[in-house]
Amino acid sequence: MEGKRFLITGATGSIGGAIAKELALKGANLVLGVRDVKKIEPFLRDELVGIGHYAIELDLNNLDSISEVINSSVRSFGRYAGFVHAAGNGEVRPIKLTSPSFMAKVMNVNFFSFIEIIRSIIEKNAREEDLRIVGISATGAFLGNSTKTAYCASKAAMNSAVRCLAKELANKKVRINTVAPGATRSNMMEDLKNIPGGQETLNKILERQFLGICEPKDIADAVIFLLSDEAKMISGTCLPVDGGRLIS
Amino acid sequence: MNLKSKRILVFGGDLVLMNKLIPGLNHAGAHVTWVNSGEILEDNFENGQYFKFDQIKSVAFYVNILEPFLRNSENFDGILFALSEGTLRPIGMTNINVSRQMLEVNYLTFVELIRLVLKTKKLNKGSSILALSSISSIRGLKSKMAYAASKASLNSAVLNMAAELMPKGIRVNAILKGALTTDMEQKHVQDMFAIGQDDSNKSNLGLTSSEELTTLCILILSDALKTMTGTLLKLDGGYSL
Repeated sequence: MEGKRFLITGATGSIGGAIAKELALKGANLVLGVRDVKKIEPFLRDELVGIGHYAIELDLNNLDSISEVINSSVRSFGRYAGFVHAAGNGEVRPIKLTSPSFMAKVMNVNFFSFIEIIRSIIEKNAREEDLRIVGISATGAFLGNSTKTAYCASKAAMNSAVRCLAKELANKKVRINTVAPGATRSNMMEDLKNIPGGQETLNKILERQFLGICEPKDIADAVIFLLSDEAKMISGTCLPVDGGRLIS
Repeated sequence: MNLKSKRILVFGGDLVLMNKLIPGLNHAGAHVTWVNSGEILEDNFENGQYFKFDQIKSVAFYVNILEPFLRNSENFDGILFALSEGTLRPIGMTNINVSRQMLEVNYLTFVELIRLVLKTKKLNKGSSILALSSISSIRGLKSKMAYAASKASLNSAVLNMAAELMPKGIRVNAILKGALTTDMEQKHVQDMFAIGQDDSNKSNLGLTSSEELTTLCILILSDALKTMTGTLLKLDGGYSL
């Protein structure tokens, strides 16, 4: 990872933040795509090891702006060796309240923006010869969860797109995978606890996640493995890091 | 296994397939309400009605047009969601509008249809919802990213709705269909031949006939499998193995 540049979205979150910290520890140079640059400045200054890390304003809901933001970051900081999409919208709603506008909002952050960034970053002048991409998916992409239709469908879209793109982009030396975290100690988990019935839902999940709650670093370690040369023959895969949730 | 006295709402579907599938549902005893755009051969209906709904692929019109339609309908015992759109595009040409359009037709319309059916209370207890999805949703295919992702979203919606609608006694399942014999008449399949992407010869059991698909639809929509929900059934002649 030494001296390689990675773009990360969602670094203000627990999982994205852990990925950024671990990559920085391994000597990578980071560009953090965030909505509010000021908000991430203390993290950049105090929590990332090394120098050569930057933050750029990247609004994942403004899909038309993504291409220019990525191109501009390449002009400013250089080509990318990899991209991690850790940004996510995990809002839950029962089906009767799952309106098209709500579904579109979730899809924008979890899926469309992921694809738009890929479309920009795979351009020859935007990347190193070998490009590695990892998306943060969810075990929900494989399961049925009450009130999570929009979220789970967006993560299933991400996994499916990754399978297709792994095949389509293999001859361009692009590897692309996803990691599906189980219940992880994160902001999203805290949000879940605070909604009615959320704690009960979480308890039910943990009953079946028999290795316990995942830590953000567990997810970061899996992401870094997939970004590394050690995973050079892995593409189009979804790696569950879920404490056994999917097999129980 | 039959659909005697059941009212089935069929939503979307290409003419070639539906002209075989809907008579099959009729023969099994179902009253069919088919909502689709375009023209059909009316004499295929033994028992049912056809409603032309021009904006069927755009959810923006659903609240204004579909909701009043549902309010004036009788209750249904089953829904067959067959709306679909598929085009081939490499990622460089898959701009946001292409992805959005595919997702809107193949996934958002399904969720919005079910949301409005529930809102208008037009689905009886014990009903069965069946979505026609695609084997592409679990495969990696060149130039099919947007289509495959939209069908994967549909699959996921089926799983989540199955969990959510269990307390209402409503079952939700999907069929992941591979190539059908009727697909050979479709433009997107001919396009696949044209760009050398056709690999239907991997379906070692052969292409699925519309009769076989109809039989499986009747089985899932009937009361024969009352405890099956949240299932994604492959019907692909072994293509995905």
